[in-house]
Amino acid sequence: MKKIIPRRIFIKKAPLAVLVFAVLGFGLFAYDANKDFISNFQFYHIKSYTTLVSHAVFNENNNNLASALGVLATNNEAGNLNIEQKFAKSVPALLYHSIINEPDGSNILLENFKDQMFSLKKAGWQTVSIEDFYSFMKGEKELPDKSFLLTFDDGAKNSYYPVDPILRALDFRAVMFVITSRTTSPFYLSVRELDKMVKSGRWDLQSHGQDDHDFYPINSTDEKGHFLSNKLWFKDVGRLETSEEFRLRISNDLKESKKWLEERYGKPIVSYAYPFGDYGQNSLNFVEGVIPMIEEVARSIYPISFYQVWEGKGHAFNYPEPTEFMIKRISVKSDWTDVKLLSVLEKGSSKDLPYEDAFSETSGLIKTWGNLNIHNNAIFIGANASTTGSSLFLDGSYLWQNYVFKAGVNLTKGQTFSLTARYKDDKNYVACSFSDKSIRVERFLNGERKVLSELKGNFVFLNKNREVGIGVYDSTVNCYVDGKIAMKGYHLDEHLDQGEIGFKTWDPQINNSELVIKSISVEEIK
Amino acid sequence: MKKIFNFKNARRINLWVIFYLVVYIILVIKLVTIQQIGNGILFATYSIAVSFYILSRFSLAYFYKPSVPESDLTYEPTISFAVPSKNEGENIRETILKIANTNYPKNKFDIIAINDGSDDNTLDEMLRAKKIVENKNYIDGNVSVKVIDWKINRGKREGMAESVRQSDKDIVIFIDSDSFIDPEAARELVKYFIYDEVAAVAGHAYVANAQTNFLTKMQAVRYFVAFKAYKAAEALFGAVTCCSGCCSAYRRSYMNEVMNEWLNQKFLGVQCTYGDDRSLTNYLLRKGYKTLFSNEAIAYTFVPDTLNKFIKQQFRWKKSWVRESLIAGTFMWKRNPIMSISFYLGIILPLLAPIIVIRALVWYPYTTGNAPFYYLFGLLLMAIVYGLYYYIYTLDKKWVYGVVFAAFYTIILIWQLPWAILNLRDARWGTR
Repeated sequence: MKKIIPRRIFIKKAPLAVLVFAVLGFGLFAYDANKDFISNFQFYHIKSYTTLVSHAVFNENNNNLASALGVLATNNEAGNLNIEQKFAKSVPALLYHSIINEPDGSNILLENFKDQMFSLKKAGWQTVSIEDFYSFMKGEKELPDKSFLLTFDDGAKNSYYPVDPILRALDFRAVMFVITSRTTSPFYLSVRELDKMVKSGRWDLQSHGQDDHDFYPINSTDEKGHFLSNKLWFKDVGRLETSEEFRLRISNDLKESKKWLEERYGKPIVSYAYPFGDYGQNSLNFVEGVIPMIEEVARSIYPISFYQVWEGKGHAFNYPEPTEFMIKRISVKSDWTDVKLLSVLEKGSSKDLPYEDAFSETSGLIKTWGNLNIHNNAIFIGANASTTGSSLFLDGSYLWQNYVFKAGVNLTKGQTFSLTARYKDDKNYVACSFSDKSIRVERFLNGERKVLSELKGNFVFLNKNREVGIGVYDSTVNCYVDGKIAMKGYHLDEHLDQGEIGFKTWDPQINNSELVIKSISVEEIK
Repeated sequence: MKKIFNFKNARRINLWVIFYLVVYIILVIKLVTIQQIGNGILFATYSIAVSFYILSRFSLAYFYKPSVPESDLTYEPTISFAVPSKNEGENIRETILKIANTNYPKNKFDIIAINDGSDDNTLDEMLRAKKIVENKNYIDGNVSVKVIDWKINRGKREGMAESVRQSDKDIVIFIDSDSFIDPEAARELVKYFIYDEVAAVAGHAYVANAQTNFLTKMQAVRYFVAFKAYKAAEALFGAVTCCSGCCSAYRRSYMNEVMNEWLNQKFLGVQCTYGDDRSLTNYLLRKGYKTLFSNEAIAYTFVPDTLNKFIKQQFRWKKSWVRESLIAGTFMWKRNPIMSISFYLGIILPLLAPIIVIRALVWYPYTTGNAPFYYLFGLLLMAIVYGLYYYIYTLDKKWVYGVVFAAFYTIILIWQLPWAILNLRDARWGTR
């Protein structure tokens, strides 16, 4: 029997239909595979991609083009390691939150972020994984010079979507500190997106706590405070929680987020980043005991924790120290250009001995108190209208152990100035302090001052060019004046076994001290 | 000579690309719906089913290309054109003259015009047309025009039946008194009767007064898609559910088999006096015969040009659709599985539509406070698919009205259906 619609018609028409269905089906598949990307796409993300292409085209290194387009998953790490090996003595961690399009005064614009990353890459900086960083901190692993840890806090969608293409092109990786209770909120990355990030191999997820970014009542007036650093107010029974309750609460929170991440991704979570960078220092109602308690609890759960360090709060980089729990992060500010970021990193980079300071803006001299000016090939430090003195230290000299630090100085105002050595932070260091009446060896341990030795006499420092120095060798301290040892100190505490160099000025009167530093040189004592 | 590169074709290809882009967006939306099916299983299922149904019409229609073996092209059955009419003085003469002008051996067809109790000059016009036609001398014989005059109105169904009784030809082609047929239409309709299982073939009706106003422009697009896609999709399985009265051919011998049942059809105890074409098709389908659609058999019909007339016509069609769909539902499962699935879908979906629309446009905004943009966007896309489909084939700018119509239909006309169900037993014809 003949058919009204013969088979040949179907055969003739089928290929086109199959093709259309295949294309549509493929399109659906493509959509499904990229749906998070598509639904989270914001127009400014294009900037991440356009610059990638232009970067790749104008860059001699064509690997970048390949990786920008995602054509070749090149592993540049191996290539980098081949070049004449220099190992990192210290590693900085950079902290970002969201990467945005419209300035909001705290987050970083995509333009800036992009410039910063490209400049870092160009200057030879390379990212490391959290595992490598942790091994480095424990002293178990060497990392190439100019390694840094790139971190983002909170797990917002816009710290992933605009960032990832840039990471991919530059062969960078990053750590995301995830607030594990927020994965269902539209502003934050969903679990599916987190899965994808982990799968990409470019992202390490670490803990940013469970509920500890929420604010809670901390007293009867309903004032609200940070979850982690305050005792909470129980409204129904009208009292604050006890220290034990506090401990249990934060302990549960810290455990929960770690557990969630570990169970989902099957990798040990080694670190925790304090919410708002607040490890207790911002406590409103538990000031006396909160810092040690947070540290004790966090330490019992995580091997390391991250807080934020700003300029002037000690060295910016992290030095291997197996017992160090508090890891520093440099919080990148919204007004930093790529040049500024590079200079921050340059300042913090480890310096080698012998050392001669060039008095440049980026040499690493960090003011911690008073005023600091560099001009006319000299450094001016001194008190300002609200201080009795000033101090600075040389970032990047933290690993120096036995050395003589000499400086050409002129005390133009005030009673005393000091050369500091083995400076760990502003509470732990040793100093030779010079005044017209005495030369002293002083040590500060946890902020406690002790004069190790003192030489009284009549010295002339005010308005005179002098060469002074401080030498440290094991537990001996020498103070030099004009090339000669003027004073010795012994039995320096074991804790002060290494550290940075620096200066300090002081006068009983406010705004009445100034030291002009004309040269700085440091030599190692073998 | 054939052109290697045809500008119109290139344009059509571009349009198809746009068409499929829109389809793609719809599919993506459906995919999202599937993945969020937890948000309301009824709504999601409906939304997916309705898109599947509509898109399947276009896909199935694509494969519908009936063919007649070369050797059978000489097949020329005898034809009666039947024109039952009431109060059609305005068009009836033209209608008959157009029929007489058909490109078919003149000795192989006649015209049966029935004046069903008109109050106007219909009879005079018929007689005038008869005179003109019968006085014409064609090479291959004369065309006879039989005019039957009923003083009292007996209804369209009786009129159709009478013309079958009066005919001694193989095929009866029903032409509405306000429809004009293309000279090639008859040949295109009857050639499929070479297949014994074919009982009826529907022609492709275009809107004659498409340019009149907004309403007729919308209907022009609607008609095109209803025939070109929907009827073709049904015809792929030989089961066009309505070989419409405006231009369809029926095999007289098969009609005689169902004539008595059809004439005495009762539904819910009431004599059926509307939806005669759909009903007749249904009786033939029940017998297991095939009904087809001929894309090339072109007729032009006048559609309502006022909203009032249009709403009444749609209401009448809805009523007959409900009645005949329920009847067809009792045997359609015996047909090809794809056909029966889409047939039942085609019944269930419109019945559910009012609930869905209330949920999307009233309940959802009321409970969530969100405007139903997502729903309206989906609706708009589907409407664009309709419009584009029309535009691709016709390159006619009226396609935009089709987009409006699809939205108009979904938001307004679907409310007729529940009303039609409630008024099923009301036998009033509802004037045209």
